[in-house]
Amino acid sequence: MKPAVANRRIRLLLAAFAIAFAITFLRAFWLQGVRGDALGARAASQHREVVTIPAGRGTILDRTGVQLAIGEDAVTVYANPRQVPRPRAEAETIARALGVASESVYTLLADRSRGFVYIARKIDPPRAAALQHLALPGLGFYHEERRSYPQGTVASQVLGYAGVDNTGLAGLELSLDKQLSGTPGRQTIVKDPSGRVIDVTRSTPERRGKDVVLTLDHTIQADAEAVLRETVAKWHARAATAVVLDPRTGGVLAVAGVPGFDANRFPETSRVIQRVRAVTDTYEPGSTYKLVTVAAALSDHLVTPSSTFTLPYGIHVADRVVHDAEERGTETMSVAQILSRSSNVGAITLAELLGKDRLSRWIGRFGFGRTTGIDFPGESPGIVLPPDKWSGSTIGNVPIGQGIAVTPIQMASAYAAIANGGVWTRPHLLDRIVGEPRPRLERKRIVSPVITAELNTMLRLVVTEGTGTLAAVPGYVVAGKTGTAQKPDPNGGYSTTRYVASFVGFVPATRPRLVVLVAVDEPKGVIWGGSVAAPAFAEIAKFDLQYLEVPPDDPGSLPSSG
Amino acid sequence: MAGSVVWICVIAVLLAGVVAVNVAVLRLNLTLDDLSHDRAKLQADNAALQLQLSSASASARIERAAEEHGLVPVDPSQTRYVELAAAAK
Repeated sequence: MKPAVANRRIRLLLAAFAIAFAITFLRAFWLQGVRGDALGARAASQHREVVTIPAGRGTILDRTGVQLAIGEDAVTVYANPRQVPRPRAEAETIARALGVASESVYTLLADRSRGFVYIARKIDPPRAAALQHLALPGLGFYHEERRSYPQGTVASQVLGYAGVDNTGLAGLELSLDKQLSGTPGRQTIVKDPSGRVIDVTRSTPERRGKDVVLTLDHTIQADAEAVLRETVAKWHARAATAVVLDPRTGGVLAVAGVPGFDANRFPETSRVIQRVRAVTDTYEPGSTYKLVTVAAALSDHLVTPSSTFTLPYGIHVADRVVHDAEERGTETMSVAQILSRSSNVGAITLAELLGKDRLSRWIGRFGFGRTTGIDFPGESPGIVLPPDKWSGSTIGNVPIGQGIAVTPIQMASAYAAIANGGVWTRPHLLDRIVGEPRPRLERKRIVSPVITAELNTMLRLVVTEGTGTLAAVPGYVVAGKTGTAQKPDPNGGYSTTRYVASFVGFVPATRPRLVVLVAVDEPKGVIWGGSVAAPAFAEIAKFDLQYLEVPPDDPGSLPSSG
Repeated sequence: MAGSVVWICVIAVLLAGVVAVNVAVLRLNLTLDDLSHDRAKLQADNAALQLQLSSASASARIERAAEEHGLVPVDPSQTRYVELAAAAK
């Protein structure tokens, strides 16, 4: 080959390489320099994803460590209708797998204006897995936490519930939502074409919600609910409430309400049944309130337990006459007998000695007319008239528990103060948040130890020889008070057919460990607190004392074991 | 000439090392992804077991089961307590 030809070919080759290089360079400049950002973003969107890692909701435990509310794994099924080629056939397949109506699924899948629709929220993982196995086009799955209440109806009203987005909507789930809710995490991940994570470029870990321990005891709670169910059935009552308190700490061991409901089925339950009546509803307490009147008269040194009064069957107060519950002649009664025999005339006589201002002061001192501060949402303060609003006949109502409204938790707290040597302790449901120090108890003395001891003795007489004999628990000294209150009539005045029968007391009276209040709403047939509520008190107290292994303080009253 | 060969070899080894490290990181990330799935599954299983445990320890269920086996509740008045101080005398 001639050198000239060779040189021309070399130059041609060089030119071809130069052109190819120039094209490559220009293309590279176009891709990297001009369209670099847009293409980079598109690439990142294809293999990079920011995912939110949901934080688990904290568990609610009872005082023994048994789970009352817990998060469990569930799967949510969604679809992109635009990616579903045959909506009718796919809807029928999904409906068969999930056990739902195919028409409702078809309506969702046929709507091609939307790119995302929920097919089913929080279903059981095995069912979702079966559906996922069918590999239907346009269908997607992701895991979520579902709130579950393994004890079913036990303490359902107190626990409340969390909604589909795991936010507390009622009860303790609502009031402790801040503590129970965690903080979701975020991760920026890089995926391979099959969707597997090959790198995590940025990560903020999720923080699970805190576990909370309640003062409730699921065994005591379940028993109280069972006793209330029996009581309501026996007396054909409208409803019933029970509160079990530890007077030493103010810890609520049980707060039961019948009728109840299964917290796992809260959407089907009426709001009325969901209420914790012991905290949110008020009632006229009737004779259980006489404790306040007697405590006030004793504390202001107007009387002693042995002071006697000559009491007729009825007493005139302004324009009305108030009688005792049972017809009798004029009798002489001591203050202790006024309480044990639940004399209305006696209680009003003591109140007239006190006067409305002093009585009002003592009502406030016992915590009536304001919330107790229990850690539960929607607590009612009750209804207590200030002294300047009292009419002439109010002094004939209030001392016997009429014309005022209290919550069962207020009443139980007042008796707990007497059981606790005169020191009132704020009732509470939250024992502690796991990992945090236990909250300090809030206490205040409301009655002197001497007066408390006198009241304790007088309340024992109610059970040994007064109106509350059916509240007796073999082996234990019981102190308490019966109450039978007429319900206000919607048309004014008081109903003559609708009553609230109640009993509140503490046991063992020599060293109180339990305060139990039972209030039965509208019992039929027999209406007396001593007949309707006192036996329920005894049932609850008997079970709880054995369960808590509280030794008897009156072993002599036990039947011999032979 | 010999120096160039040495440099080529050094650069080749370094490049191979970079590739090897990247492959190792990729493998570890895949393992991490698998472990993360395992962790989520174990947590779900754990929650399911806790749920089962809590349902099983419900007082009402235990009482029902006991009754089915012919057991009856203990009469609280028949329970006797021993005072250790008195017993020690």
